[in-house]
Amino acid sequence: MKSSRPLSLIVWALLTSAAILAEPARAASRDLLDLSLEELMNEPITSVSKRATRLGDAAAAVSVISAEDIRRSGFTSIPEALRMVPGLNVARVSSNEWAISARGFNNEYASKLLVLVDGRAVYTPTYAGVYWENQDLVLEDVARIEIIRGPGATLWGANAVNGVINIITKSAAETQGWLSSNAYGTEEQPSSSLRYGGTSGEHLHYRVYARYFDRDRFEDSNGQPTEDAWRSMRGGFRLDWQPPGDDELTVQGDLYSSDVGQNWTSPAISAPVNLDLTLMRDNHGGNLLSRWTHRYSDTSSSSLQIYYDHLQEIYAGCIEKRDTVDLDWQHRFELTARQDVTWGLGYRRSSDDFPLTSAIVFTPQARTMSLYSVFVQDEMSFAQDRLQLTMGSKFEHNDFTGFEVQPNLRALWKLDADQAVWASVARSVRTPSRVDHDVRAAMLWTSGNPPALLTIQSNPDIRSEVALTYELGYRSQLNPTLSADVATFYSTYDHVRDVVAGNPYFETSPQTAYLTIPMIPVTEASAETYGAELSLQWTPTESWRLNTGYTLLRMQTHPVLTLATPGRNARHQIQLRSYYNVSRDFELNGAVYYVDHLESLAVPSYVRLDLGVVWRPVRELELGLSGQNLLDARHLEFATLRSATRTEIPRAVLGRITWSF
Amino acid sequence: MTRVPGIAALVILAMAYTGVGAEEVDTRREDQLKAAYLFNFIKFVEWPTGAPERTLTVCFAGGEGVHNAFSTGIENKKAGQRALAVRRLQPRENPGGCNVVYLDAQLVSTDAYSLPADASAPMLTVSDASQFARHGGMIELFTDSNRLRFNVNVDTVQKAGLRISSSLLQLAAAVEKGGGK
Repeated sequence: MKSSRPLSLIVWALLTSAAILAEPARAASRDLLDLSLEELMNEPITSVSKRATRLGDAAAAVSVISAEDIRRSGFTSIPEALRMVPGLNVARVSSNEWAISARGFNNEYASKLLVLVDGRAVYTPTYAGVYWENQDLVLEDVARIEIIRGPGATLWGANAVNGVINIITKSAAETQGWLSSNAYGTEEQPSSSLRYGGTSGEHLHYRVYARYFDRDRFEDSNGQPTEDAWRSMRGGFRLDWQPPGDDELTVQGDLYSSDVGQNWTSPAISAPVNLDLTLMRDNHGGNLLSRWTHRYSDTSSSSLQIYYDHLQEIYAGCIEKRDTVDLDWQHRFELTARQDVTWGLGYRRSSDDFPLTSAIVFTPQARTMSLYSVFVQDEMSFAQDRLQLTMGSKFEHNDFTGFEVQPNLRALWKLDADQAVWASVARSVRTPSRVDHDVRAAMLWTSGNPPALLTIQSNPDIRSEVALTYELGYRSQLNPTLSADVATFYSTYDHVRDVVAGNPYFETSPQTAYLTIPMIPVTEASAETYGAELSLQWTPTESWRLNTGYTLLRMQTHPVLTLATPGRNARHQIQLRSYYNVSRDFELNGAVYYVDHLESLAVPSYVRLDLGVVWRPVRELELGLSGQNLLDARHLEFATLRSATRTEIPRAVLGRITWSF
Repeated sequence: MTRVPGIAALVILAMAYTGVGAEEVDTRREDQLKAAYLFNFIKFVEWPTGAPERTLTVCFAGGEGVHNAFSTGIENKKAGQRALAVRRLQPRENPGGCNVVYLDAQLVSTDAYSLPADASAPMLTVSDASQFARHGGMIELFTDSNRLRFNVNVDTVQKAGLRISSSLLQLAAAVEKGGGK
């Protein structure tokens, strides 16, 4: 019986597509004229890429942070800007570290959120997470940040379990001329960007940029400095070539170098003592990406993307060097008048080396991992486009767990022109990282006689974490000034990764005998999460806009886990953002965020208030003054297990001059 | 050098208007989007007193696809209080009487176009020609990352006595000043 199901699905699909063919062609031009300018700007000319769905028509929990949101927020970094997304849990760990996740499992090494910058994955296979401190850009050149909460694995592949963040920069054509942006304040000392965009001929646009910032250290609850100051320098370019015709070529690249101050509590090798280290992590890296898109017709296009990425990271106890090459091909075409098919092939090769190791040892020291992937997705529309069905799957092969299948079925039903309901069910996986599979890391000495050394010992039999997610959402333009978006979800997770203590055994080091307690990554637990994300946008007058958001998250694990604890995630979050234009040249912006307490880290709940004014005396010049965290001198948002130091997030004042001409 | 596109534009213009290149135009999605943008622009612009109270005339120089999409799209639609009438401009026809003129990129090169002759006429000019806003046009549509964007030249808009809503300016990719020929 079970095997007849796919067959009946195919028969059903064939029958419906025949029915689709018989329907009249869509009256698309009339529909487009009903869209607002903002909506039009999100409208792809052709659906070239994986992300070219209209926001209002997406059968997924999608949010977008626009360039205007970033400008008005006064935020100076990408991770901070993500606070504006309802459904994301953004907790700043120190001046240069963040714990960011959607829908649970938050951690400074949160592993279930995939992040891409202009199509380049910045999720690291080393520990399964994102080096947020390396993800910096000229914020004025960011076009938008698209956030998909919930699984995106069918298109984006493994590790897009709880969400995908796409950071998309403006094209070179949109960033012509000079831009100089300088901010100085209690934390930014300074933060400066310089960019020039030009053209060569009529069809080639380019920009080059340089950026530097120096961020002050934060303090702990006693006002003691926490030595987490950081400095970063970066530069890069982007070329966009759009010759007349159907081809487009983008080439872009960046180079960066950072000194990142972090606190680590690390065990000494020679004696049973723990050292509180202040490490200046000297990290650097660079990337080069090229993307070619070709349009065969209005309904058919393809893109080929290739990138190379290099990075070097220093930790307490080891150095990482990593080189990644990634190839991605996508093709989209109209199968019938009512069916769009997108399919693609991908190959990624990531080679690492951990040449200098002491407390952390990788075996093998160097490893090259290959990832092969194929995906196919079919979008079908029925009943005059009122019902849309999307089904697809990604098929991947990785070196640790072999084949992974990540299917997804989504449906969107437009109740009328202003309302839609959507639902989705998806399976996604989080594949093991190098740390899960290959590491032996001395973590901490425990007191006692004999002394015991807690040591993470990898588990080569570790499995992928598997999530099944059910979502139901509703979107409505209630009236011309008010729109609402609700997403609810229920997810179950199997083979959840945790760490358990194995049988202790004696080791004898040159000096003394000690006990090793192995901490072994296992994937035996299960978990479930459910919750809701609500956002409302209200434009009471032409010059005033309000955004509110509420996030509810509940999480349970079986059994109770050491690392993936529900108590590291805020149960309730509320935000309210206000944009007010006093006049054409003068803006008042404000935001309030409430984040619930984190039980297992003893982090109390907090309310954050940000206020800002922006004045444009002439069009080329923008002056901004913003205050962040105005309600308290400093507060705790998260606590890392890596160090006993608990860094608090201070009140900050910032002045900014942006000059473009 | 810049003469060449000028001459090319004239040739294309002559061809288009003698019907040589006038094949049947299937409305392409890109044209439909341009038509939708044009409709939105009109909603965000205020004409000075003296402009027709009831009906705005939208003229098309070339751009058949956009014209077709716009004409079918605006049936039973108004831009604010005003109804819209659509007209196609003949070659060398004086655009007097038009409140909005859409110029196809093929008819415009960076140095050779002549609409409107009188910069102070309250006539909104929109085109998908490259550098249109920088060279004296008002709103320029361009393609970027598979999406349409626009630039606005506020000086030419003001000179023509039109007022553009600040919300439109905020959405523009670039706001130009000056220009003209």
